[in-house]
Amino acid sequence: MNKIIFLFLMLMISNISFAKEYLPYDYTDTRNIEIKLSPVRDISTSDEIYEGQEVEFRVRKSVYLDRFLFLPKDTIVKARIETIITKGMNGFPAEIIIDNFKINNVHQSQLVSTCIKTGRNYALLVYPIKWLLTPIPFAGSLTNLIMGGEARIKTDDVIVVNYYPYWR
Amino acid sequence: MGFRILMVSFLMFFNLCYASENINVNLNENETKLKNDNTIQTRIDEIGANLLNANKIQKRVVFAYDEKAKKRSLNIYDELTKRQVIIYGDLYKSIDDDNELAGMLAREISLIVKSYNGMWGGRIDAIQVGLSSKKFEVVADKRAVDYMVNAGYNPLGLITFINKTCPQKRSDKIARHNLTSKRLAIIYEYITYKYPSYLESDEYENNKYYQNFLLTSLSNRVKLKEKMRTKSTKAIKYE
Repeated sequence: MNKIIFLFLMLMISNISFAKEYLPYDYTDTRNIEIKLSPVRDISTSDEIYEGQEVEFRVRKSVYLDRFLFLPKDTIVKARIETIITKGMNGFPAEIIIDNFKINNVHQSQLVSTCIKTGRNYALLVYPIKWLLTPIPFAGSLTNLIMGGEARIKTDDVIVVNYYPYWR
Repeated sequence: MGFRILMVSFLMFFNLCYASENINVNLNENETKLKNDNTIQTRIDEIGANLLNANKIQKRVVFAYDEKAKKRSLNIYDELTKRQVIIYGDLYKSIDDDNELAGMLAREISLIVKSYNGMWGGRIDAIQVGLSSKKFEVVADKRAVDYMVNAGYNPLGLITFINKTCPQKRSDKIARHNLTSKRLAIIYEYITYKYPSYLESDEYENNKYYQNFLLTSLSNRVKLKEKMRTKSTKAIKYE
């Protein structure tokens, strides 16, 4: 009876020692593969786009992993518009944040893919003019009306998504 | 004479005992406070690290708990200049669960990430974020929802946290901040379109603060329902 209890305890202890908890990510490995993409259609904040909208990208150049073709040229990759920041006064530019690229056999945790595209920022033009015009009553405030640029990703723009195949 | 000496020595001994007891009590209080602060800081660091790692944010962000400091409403944010998230004691008091704390941290992280991008090492962007605080308040809320979902937290925690901590002003026409009800409605809409599963789950069904938000946002939610029914893409004018 004692032997059985002893064996049971040993089994419990060995299980406890082996039950090591792992984090859902491991960023140790530095090897990465660049995946170059371009949108199938122009994406612009001046068009009717919305947050959560799915957008399509095309692979510009075949991607190889350990000499094997992993992603052929012209493969369509879907992504999602995460956040849209509209343009504002004082030269404040619009911004689009695209992420959640869906590539076959690749986990989201293995991709560093947040794509941020910003429009023209006129802050460096607006603020000096505003300060120069400040002595003239209300004239400085007129620069508030200068709007920033729209964010646009054209079909010939290149977006680089980094794939880390050895990440968990 | 002998009696006086005896009395004086007794009093001195009594005072000494009392003083040492006081010192001991103070030391114990300080130790308890330090332990308490350490527990809070560890909790904040852990959730902060979860958010940064799960979202693969490749920028350095640190978190500091300050029980006594109060946020001045007109300062340029520490988040934008020092890239440091400061958690104020008066806000921490209102935090119930990890989701709410994650919501609070995620908002600040999104502002810090913004301060790293753009011209002059992000300085111009940081100034613009500081100046257009109204616009970026909403952007930070939306990014916070994304960060929370990616790290496995329930984004409804952000709603309950804001509902408890941000007062409702009369108008936001010439204010630097949006009306809280408007902010909450925008967050709710964002979750509705992008992460509807969280609204269907019953995790927050029995949460008093969430139910209070549902009650106070009835008219805004009716507007959202109408937008969804008509499949409109126009922005709703929330109250």
